[in-house]
Amino acid sequence: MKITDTAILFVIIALPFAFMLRIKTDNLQNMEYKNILLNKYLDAAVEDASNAMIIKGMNNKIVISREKALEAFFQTLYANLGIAGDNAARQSIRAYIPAIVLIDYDGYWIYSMETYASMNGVKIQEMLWKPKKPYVYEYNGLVYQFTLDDYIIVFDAATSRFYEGKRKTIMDRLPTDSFIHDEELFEQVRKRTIIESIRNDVNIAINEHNKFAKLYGITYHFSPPSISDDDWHRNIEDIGFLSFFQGIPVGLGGERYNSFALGAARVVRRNLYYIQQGTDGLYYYHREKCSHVTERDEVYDSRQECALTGALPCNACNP
Amino acid sequence: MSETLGKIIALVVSIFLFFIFPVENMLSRQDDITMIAVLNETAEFVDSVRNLGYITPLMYSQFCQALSATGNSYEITMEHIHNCVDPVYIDPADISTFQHYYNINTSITYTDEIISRLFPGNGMPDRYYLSKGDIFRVKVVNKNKTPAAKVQQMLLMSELPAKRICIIYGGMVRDENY
Repeated sequence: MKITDTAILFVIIALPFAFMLRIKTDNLQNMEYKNILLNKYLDAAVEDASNAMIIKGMNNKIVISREKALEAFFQTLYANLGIAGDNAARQSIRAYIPAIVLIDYDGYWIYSMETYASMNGVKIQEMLWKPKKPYVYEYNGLVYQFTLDDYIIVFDAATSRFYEGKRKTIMDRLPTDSFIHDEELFEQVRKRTIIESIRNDVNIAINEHNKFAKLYGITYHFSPPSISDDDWHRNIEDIGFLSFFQGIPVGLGGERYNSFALGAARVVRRNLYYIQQGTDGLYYYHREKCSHVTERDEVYDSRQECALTGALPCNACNP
Repeated sequence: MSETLGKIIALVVSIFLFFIFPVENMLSRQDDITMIAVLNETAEFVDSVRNLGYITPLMYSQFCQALSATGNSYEITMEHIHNCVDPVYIDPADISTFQHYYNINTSITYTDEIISRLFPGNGMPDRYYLSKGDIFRVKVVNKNKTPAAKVQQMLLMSELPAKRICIIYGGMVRDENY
């Protein structure tokens, strides 16, 4: 065979592979863009939900509204996906959301699929808010109910007594063998309890969702995503809205999008600012952890408040 | 004579088809995949900065490490657009001239200053803090010529620009988790 014939034969054999490689990389690229896009949509929706859920109720008391959060979440998601007016598409997108968690100060709600019989005996399946669950831990005959900070309710089953208050104020009234006396241990138990109780319920909800997803014609197998402890710790520090979004097809090779997002409302934890006179005689405002702050008598809630007293932003911590 | 010429041409064409075409094709795909990887890493880094509201030296060095694992060297440009709340004075040195209102100004911090805050020459590496509502943006461009660019240069016999992989990613800082 002549060398030119061999070359042509080689091209005939090699060209399909080259083409396939190109198609695959293009697919991979598109998938990546879609993943990032969906991440942005989910982030935006969760952000809006966490902003919308805080309502000022009577006497300036803060109330968490699950319905407002959900409404804002879906509205933003639909708007971004371009299906705001398409009822059928909206229903099918909802099937890709196996669970939503609203993390409140003293407990959490889970929004997931539930089956129940209506008044006339018809079986109904829909996404529902489950009753609120507290963060409860039982140890040595004492039942501890935690919150997102160090406020705690302890129930002593033996004496049928309740102790309620900040950790420091009630710890003297509790037996000495309790972990409540050790601040570090208390924090660990508190965080672990919150994480474990939410994680368990989320796992159950997501696993349950498989049954319902089949009805919508979704073949994806929903499974709880692995969320690192680090992520959990960051997520349980404030009232927040946690949403899972799984199983949307993003690639030609059967690739699926699988992610979760959390938006925090910043109610429990706030940033504090301090004003102090600098060495040059001018007043500066600092972040809480700035090394230049020595006296912490007067606390300010916002940078705007600080600026209105005439204080300048600190050069070191750049608030 | 004409047969020899034909043979030489056939040889040149077949060398091109046998070796250069597959190599060029492979390397171009490699560039595409590298770009996906860089986009992925950049998105992860920027999103975690936006969620946390700070940059730790570890986060930055892990980001650099992940990028260098692609086999290219990159120029990383960071931009932090900070909203400052500044009280308005006629003479800032004289406290009595305070006008009782504030302006919101923007100040932009660039890569060099952020890096020098993260890794000060003397002393411990420190975190770089951002505030909620600030904008953080990262641009990653490759510095070296990728293998695909080199092969194409050889084929076209002309100088091609090194810039093949260029990712810009950024957004608003969502939280202050310090």
